[in-house]
Amino acid sequence: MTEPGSMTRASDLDEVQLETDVLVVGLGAGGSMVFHELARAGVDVLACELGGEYEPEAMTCREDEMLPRLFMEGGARATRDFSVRILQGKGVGGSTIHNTNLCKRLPDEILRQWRDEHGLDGLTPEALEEDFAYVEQLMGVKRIPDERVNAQNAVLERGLDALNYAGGRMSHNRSHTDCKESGFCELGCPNNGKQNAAKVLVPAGLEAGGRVITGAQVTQLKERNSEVVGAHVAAVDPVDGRVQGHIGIRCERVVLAASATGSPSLYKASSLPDPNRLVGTNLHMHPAAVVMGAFDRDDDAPINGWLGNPQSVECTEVLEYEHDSDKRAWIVTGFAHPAGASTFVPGFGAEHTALMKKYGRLASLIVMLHDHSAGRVSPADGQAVNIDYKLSGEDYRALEVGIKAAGRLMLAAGAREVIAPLVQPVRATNEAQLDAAFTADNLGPLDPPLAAVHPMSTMWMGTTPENSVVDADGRHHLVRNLWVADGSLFPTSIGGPPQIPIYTFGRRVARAMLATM
Amino acid sequence: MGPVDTLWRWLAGSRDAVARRAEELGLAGAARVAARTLGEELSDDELHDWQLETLSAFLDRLVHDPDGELPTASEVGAAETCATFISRLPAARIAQISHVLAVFEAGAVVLPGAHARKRFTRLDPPDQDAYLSGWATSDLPQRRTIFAALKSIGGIGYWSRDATWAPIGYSIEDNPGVPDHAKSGGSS
Repeated sequence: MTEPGSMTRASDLDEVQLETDVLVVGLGAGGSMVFHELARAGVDVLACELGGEYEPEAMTCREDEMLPRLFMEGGARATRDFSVRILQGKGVGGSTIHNTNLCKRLPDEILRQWRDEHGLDGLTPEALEEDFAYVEQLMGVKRIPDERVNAQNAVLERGLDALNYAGGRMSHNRSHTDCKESGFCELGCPNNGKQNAAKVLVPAGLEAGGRVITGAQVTQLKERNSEVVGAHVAAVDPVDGRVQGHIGIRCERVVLAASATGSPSLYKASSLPDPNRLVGTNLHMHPAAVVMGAFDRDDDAPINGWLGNPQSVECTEVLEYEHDSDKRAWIVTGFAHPAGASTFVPGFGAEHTALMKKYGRLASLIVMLHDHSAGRVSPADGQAVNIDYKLSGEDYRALEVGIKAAGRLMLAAGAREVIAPLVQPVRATNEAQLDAAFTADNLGPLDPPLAAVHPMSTMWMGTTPENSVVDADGRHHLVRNLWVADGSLFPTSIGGPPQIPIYTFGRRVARAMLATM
Repeated sequence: MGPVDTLWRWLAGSRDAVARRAEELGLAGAARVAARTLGEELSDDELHDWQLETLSAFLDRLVHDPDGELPTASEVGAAETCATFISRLPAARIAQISHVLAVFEAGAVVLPGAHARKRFTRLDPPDQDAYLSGWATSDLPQRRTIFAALKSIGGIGYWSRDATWAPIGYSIEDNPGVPDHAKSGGSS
């Protein structure tokens, strides 16, 4: 039915019963790393991914076609009050199919907090060094060279230099041979240029004998005497999620790697033990606002932010990790193709259209919050999840600090005007106007519109079932043979791109699991 | 005065009452009230012609170029592109969009504002713009949410059409990093 090394569509397996040693739910960064490590260790491992498998030739570069294929709920997922749009990936590779390939380790201060405040004594930079180095070598992480910095990122570099702000060039995991700098990272690379989970980890896992089923939504985990014993899987259309059949799986172990929204939702839908009502809580997500700068004078060079590598540079001037800091914003360039960009260009009608006609002259920065606000996730129908999340007053203050810093960067880089899509749009031509326009009091739900791409922390690591969901190895405190290997693991927001940490902890989970086998 | 009239008059009352009632009704409840007000059919799994008309009218106001350099939403079939995109979404999202369109179309009949009291698609363009402005800048998050949802869907329907790209300087064809397989065919 499914041979070692096979990738099969679930719709071809209706009414089949499968057996495996380890079931991996989800083939994003964490799940793919677990799949890779276990298969190469000779373990019988079967991965179920609810999305499809997409070769580079399937990447059409068209927003209306790729959003339904690569994003949960077609890119329309949001918090229940719609105040934060949440973009999460699906498909073989998960969010690594559409991410912008930024690579960073966990900050030392975050690890210190995890040790001191969450009892995770073993998580020192030294203890994680070998795993981080392995992941970086495997995924081809390298510094982004000068020739791959596009005009929009050059704006951020000019701003950093002019203001002497902290930050600089970042690292990525693109192939410098295969990446042709199309600028379509966020809609799936048409050149197979990303050294991502789909390109590096899953094929190697298949070659080692692992099995993958696509269009496979795990709808329930089966448990007996507090031990996972199997799962029910719906064969679904990878795009619209319509159910096409059913599969049963018997297994010895399960790794939940369906993201910080999918993993807790599945756990709760399976009615697994949660006496302390922790699963699905503690949700952090790095909510982000957009700040634009107009470079539209006659002698300004065009920005054309859709060309080249979308993100190469970061500003960390207002990014601190101490709990009482109001400087908790990570600033990178923001970027979208026309349809996505139009959601952040304020207004409608002639005003909105006039700004869209300056699309090639607009640079944009994303102000991504290292958030303290904590939300919750619960299951909903089909592939939907209920996400409740409200930004606290202190987070709005930190957002204000970040937005103003981004505005100053734009002005220092030579922008004629700073534009921010508040309900009453801000258009500032100097710092005094910028400072006057933004106060924490005039920020609120949908003002500005926020988007988040890094949900995390909903099945977090800790020392006891009373203070956490899993242990430092990702093993569930209460349900035997159940592990977690995605962003759910992080006890707090991490204030930066999560792919390297998720790959790294996926490796650690796999190693810990192998030690029990 | 029937129950629908009562509800809408109550909704048009105090701000607090509107917010509370909107919270209680939820989007689905408000959409059912809206469809009854209009005398139209409402489904959770598809958009009816009257809803596509609402979407088309919204799009024609969303993108408006007095210089005439950009085509109109109707000229590029933006509503049809939206409908195709929506049809590929999960069922829950299709239902949501159906409800959003119903509430938006009916709101022009009953909600206070500077516009004439007609359904959105029957308003003159200046009144449509006034109505849109009320939703975009409302101090009720529910109304701003509906505007943002329509703008997001509308943006996909309009800006994904090739014919809209030259005036904004965007191109897939001329992008040196895009391989041939992504340059062939596409939405024109």
